[in-house]
Amino acid sequence: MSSRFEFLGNTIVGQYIPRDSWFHKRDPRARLIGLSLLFLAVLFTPEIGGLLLGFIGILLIYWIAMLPVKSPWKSILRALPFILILAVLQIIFLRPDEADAVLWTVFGFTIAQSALMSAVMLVCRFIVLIWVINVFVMSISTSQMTAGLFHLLKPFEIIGFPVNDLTMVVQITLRYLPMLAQLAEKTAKAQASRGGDWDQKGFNPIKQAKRVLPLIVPLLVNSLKRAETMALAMESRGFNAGKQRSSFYSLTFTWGDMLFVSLSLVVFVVMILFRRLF
Amino acid sequence: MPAIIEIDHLHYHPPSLAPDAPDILYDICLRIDGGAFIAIIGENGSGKTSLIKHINGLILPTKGLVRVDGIDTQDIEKRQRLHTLVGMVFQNPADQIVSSTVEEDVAFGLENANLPFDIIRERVTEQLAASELTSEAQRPPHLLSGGQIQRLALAGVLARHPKVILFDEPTSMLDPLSRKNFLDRIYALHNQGMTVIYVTHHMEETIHADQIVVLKDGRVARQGPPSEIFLNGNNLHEIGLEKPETVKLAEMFREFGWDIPPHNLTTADLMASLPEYKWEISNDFRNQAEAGHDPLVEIDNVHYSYLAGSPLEKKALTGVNLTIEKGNVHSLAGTNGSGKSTLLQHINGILRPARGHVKVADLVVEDLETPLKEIIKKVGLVFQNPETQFFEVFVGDEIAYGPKQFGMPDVKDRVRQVMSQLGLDFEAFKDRRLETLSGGEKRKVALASTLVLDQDLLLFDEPTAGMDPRARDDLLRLFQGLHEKGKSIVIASHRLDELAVVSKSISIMVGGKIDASGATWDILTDIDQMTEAGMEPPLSVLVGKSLMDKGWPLQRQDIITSNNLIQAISEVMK
Repeated sequence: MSSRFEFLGNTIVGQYIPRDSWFHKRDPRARLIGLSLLFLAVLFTPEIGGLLLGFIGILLIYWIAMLPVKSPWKSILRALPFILILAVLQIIFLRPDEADAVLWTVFGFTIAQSALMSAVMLVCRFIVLIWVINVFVMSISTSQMTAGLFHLLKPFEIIGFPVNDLTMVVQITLRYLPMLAQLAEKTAKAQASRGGDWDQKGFNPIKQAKRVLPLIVPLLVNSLKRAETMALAMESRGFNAGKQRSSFYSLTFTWGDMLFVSLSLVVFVVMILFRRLF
Repeated sequence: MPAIIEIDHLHYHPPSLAPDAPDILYDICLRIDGGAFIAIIGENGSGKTSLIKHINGLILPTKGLVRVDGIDTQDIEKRQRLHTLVGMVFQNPADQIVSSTVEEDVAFGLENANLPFDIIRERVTEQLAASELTSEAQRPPHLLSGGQIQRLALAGVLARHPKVILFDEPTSMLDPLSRKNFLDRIYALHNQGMTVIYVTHHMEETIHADQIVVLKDGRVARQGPPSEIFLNGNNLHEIGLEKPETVKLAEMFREFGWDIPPHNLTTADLMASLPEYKWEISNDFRNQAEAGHDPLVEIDNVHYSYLAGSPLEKKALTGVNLTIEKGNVHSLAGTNGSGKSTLLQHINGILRPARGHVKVADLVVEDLETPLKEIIKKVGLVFQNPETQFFEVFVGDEIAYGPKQFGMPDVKDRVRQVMSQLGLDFEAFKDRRLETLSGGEKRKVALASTLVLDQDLLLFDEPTAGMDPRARDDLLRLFQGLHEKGKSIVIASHRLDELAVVSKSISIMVGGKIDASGATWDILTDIDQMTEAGMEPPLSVLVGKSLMDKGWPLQRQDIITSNNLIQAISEVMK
């Protein structure tokens, strides 16, 4: 049984699983570009066949990177109620065309074939997207992400783009999320231990929201305090936003990386142009 | 050796402070030689942290001068150089980690120095090996133990090759084993020529220092080598401090007429000079206090994992069996990560066991139908560093939160009463904003906000962490008062010397299980078992056992606290 106070388990950051796989050995930049291409393709592919192709691609990555397939299912289960609500709205409110076959009429709502199809498409799209996001968080560590971002953006420094600041912001945000989750957990437990109502009985979104509200102020105050200490710690270790910094990661883009990006690009193009190609 | 740090008539008065308020630091003059080990002690709020922050320029003097290796800390041009010279390790390990993996955090300070990639790699590898963190290189810092995070913080500082390291109570969150390892590391660095400035509450940690600086209300109250500070100064208690246990025992032994050389400050020194027993042994066995049999908490084969089912799953409890008697003061001793906190949270129901049974009075905790509020009515829990969990703005509201949740009558009177019990004046404090309180006052408010509920069973998680000696004594007295009122108390801690004073029975936790359980004197005198569990037996036990080996007719019950030991010795010396 998982506890209702386990906020940490619900944050996606810090779920990175180090593995010694071909996929993990790719340059972070290649993984970032490749996965982003897949993400966009899943988002915009017009056909269910394209989604299927994307899903096969993702499964292939799971297999190569030796990632557990249990995690995406858990995320999907958590998101499923919201996805289903969206799907129902889609069915009800999508106006059928003239040529559309009307399947049923329920309570005065006509349910058209095209609406049903697009709802199915929506659900599938979300499920595949969750799979993609899970590859992201399980196979790219936050530091690889910031390093990849840093090196990808580096060329834009010439035009005055604050690459250093931006990557630092991303890095600290990523470091903060699990800390915030732990803080939320502590504060919630402190409230519950003094009679605060944290019992979980059934599904009651209003009650849940009411519970979260009193957490927000202490979380803000505490994270500001921690930010102050962290700023001091950073300063005492020589951080200076204006100064030139080097990087722990020296990235080298290999032929393998090129291969992965090219493959992703092919899948991307096929998925986006699925309707024209087939 | 020439002075590496020169502090000249330093005054510090932050602009946020009222102009007529006393200075945080007042006319401090110090010269610290290169390679010295300086310990800074003083009660909470005496200005220790402000002082060391001046040394690496995190704080600039209001008046006076601070120079490190010839660099004036106010010289902005040389700030970068100053930060390379002086590294700092903070009190709370987690707040100083910037990056999301261990190795990258070590690299952070090197990236800032704009060092080339291969040198960064080399130094990171070197530091990870020296801090025994190589196997954790890729782990996210929030999943490390306290000891590991503190080693990581030090590694990040050392990687920059500083000449001076400032430590701000770095061991206050560590268990005895991690603390000892961390200290050994610092001693080793000092032996290699590092200048160490070390702020601490633990007097025992200062006995290897070259010099001790005692601060009181922002002034240097005393300064000198440990032998001078602890052997001559008899009024340390007035400034909220105390002598190390070894010194206290040695002094009392000297009063017995024993020949203890004056400069014995370490445990080993003291043990080496204990006398043989030379009196006649009389057979006078005391009766052991028999504990009552009226179980209040029954825990049966409880298992629990954090992040269950995720790749980061961590087993916290692996089959705990424990019974706690009504009216008892029971302690859970164990290192960080041995499952003490998790077990406490099962007793007040905010965690429910994944497997096994927990019964508190007549409530079945594993049954989700048992409302949490019913359990909370009987069981209060004060978390570690409870002052970090405040969620109200004003003192009065924070304390009144619990009674309001339960719809108790006379909330105001309850709050007033509990505040006076803890020595907080109701009128003076009820409308104060929480963040304006001192550390000690915050801790009192946190205690009050649980005690106000007047539960029968009270659980305390590391209650003395980060407290100065005086505050610690106050708290131990509070426990005794609660016990006399008939409350049942469970204390989780790794400080066996403190537990020995208050608890009647102790359980040792190792790896999520109860390793041993029994009367305090019985458990604490099993030195091998203590050491194996990563704990440090109280000094009086070590000394007492060694006396027993030398033929002294002491009972094991007599040696668990210094006071008992002294009394027992004086009785058998007739």
